[in-house]
Amino acid sequence: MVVDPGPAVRLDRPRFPWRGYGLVSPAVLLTSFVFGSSMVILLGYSFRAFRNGTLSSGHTTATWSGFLASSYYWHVVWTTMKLGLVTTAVTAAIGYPLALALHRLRTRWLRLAASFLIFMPLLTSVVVRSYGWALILGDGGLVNHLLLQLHLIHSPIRMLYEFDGVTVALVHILLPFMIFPIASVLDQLDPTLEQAAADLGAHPFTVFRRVTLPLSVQGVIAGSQLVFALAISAFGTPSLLGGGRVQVLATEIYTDVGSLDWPHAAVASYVLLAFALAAIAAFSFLLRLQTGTRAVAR
Amino acid sequence: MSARIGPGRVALSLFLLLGVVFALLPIAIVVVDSFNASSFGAWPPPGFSTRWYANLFANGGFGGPAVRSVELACAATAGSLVVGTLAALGLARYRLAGRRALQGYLAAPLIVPKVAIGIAAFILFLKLGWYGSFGSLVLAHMLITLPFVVTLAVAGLARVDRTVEEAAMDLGAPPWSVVWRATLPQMRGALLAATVFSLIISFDELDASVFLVGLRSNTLPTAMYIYMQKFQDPTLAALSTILIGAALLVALAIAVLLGRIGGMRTLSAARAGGRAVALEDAP
Repeated sequence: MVVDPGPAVRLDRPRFPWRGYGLVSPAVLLTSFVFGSSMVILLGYSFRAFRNGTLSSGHTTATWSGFLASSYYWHVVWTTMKLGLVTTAVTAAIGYPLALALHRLRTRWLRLAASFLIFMPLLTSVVVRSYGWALILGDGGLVNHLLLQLHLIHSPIRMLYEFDGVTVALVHILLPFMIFPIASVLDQLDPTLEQAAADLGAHPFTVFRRVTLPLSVQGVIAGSQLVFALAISAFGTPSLLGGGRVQVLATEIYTDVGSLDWPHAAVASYVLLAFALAAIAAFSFLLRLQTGTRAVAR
Repeated sequence: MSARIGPGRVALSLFLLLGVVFALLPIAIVVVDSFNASSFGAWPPPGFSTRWYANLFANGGFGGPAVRSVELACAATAGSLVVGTLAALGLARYRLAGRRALQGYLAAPLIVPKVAIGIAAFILFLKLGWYGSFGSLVLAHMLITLPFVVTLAVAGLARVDRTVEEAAMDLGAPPWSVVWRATLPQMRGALLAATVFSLIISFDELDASVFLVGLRSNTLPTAMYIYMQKFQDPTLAALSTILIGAALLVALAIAVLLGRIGGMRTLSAARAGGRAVALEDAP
């Protein structure tokens, strides 16, 4: 319930909030025009078919059933999900200790400087960051050069234009989105809880395992939700570092548009959207479950 | 937490150092490679040269896209700031039926993958005959930046001291004047954050734009994307180095501005918008 704190008598105030709707309407119009209507048109195209280079007239579910029956597209869906899952798991594994380390830094300027360095890549374009990883992971790149120099390998490991290379770059690009929510939760944590546990004689690791970690799982879930949703919809990195060999739904859509197969691109877009929505809902459920058990524990 | 420096603490600090190296490595390598004398980015560089910078300015073809991207970011940000702030005022200050639904609808483009927004808008603009036009790009970028301008402006409005507004009203100021001289100045931190995020997101937007640009209306990210698919030489590294330098200057300017305007209040408003912003920056 919104309680209106305004004065009791406001002569110019109409019964129906015309002015309020008026203020919101440009935003609603823009969203409905560029987004709402175009998504409906796109849905319409998913019920058309593209055969022999032309768009067939009339409506059909052939494109949908073709997609769902094709082992190739399920492979694309699987690659997309695998990219999402591996990226989320790795960013969580790296991001949690990094967020904790940032949180534990005592000196204010050191903390600001470290946060700036960790979040700085966000200011550069995804193309720039992907380009950097292409230079590092290429056959003649930094990593292979070092490994060859150290005689750990005899021929370059192929990472660029492979799933692993795409994953490494995506982990780098999405890491800030894991660290940010975890660091926020850690900063809001009551420090007296950790102190109390330590004063009662708990080993630092026990304090972490029994107090800090359970109280900050929320941040990990929120971060995972963001990272997974962004990883499965990522286009630039898989496209540039996958070299056509790593096909995910987003790159598949781009390829379809290039070959004028709009119905197929439409189906792939809605399949991707469905997975994104399902993932967001699943993580929201986990988040509610987590806050629920915490409320009960109290 | 114990005050003594335990092994866990040392391990964490070392890990943080590694994390910083990981975060900066691809950026540092781009800067180094921009001076690489080799034409396919060989590692280690056989020699150093500034010829990629010369090549960038002579025949990189990035001048037009760079100007277009700056104009686009400014136009889209100006548009979504006006539209988004108005919407926030309506959402926060009136008892609208279905307020939550409205807010959810305006935030929906955040959840939808950018490629889906891109292809849907591409088909729409093509049907209207607007495909590739500057105006159509502005509309698309306004749509993409709008959700978090609204989020930040609503967060900023929640912190506005309403007694100032009421004093202005009691003194006989007309409603638009109250908003302009009592409400908006108090929101300037949130609006500054919205401006900065909107500019950065629009300037770096690739996933949707790649569907929307025509042959003659490439933005900087789409031009770089296309170049990287065709060529391997360090011209792109030279351009990226310039962009990284510009980003650092922008970061410095933001830090100075934050220091001047409201300091921590702005930061906490930015934090409120953090989730929204995070969802925006899809790779």
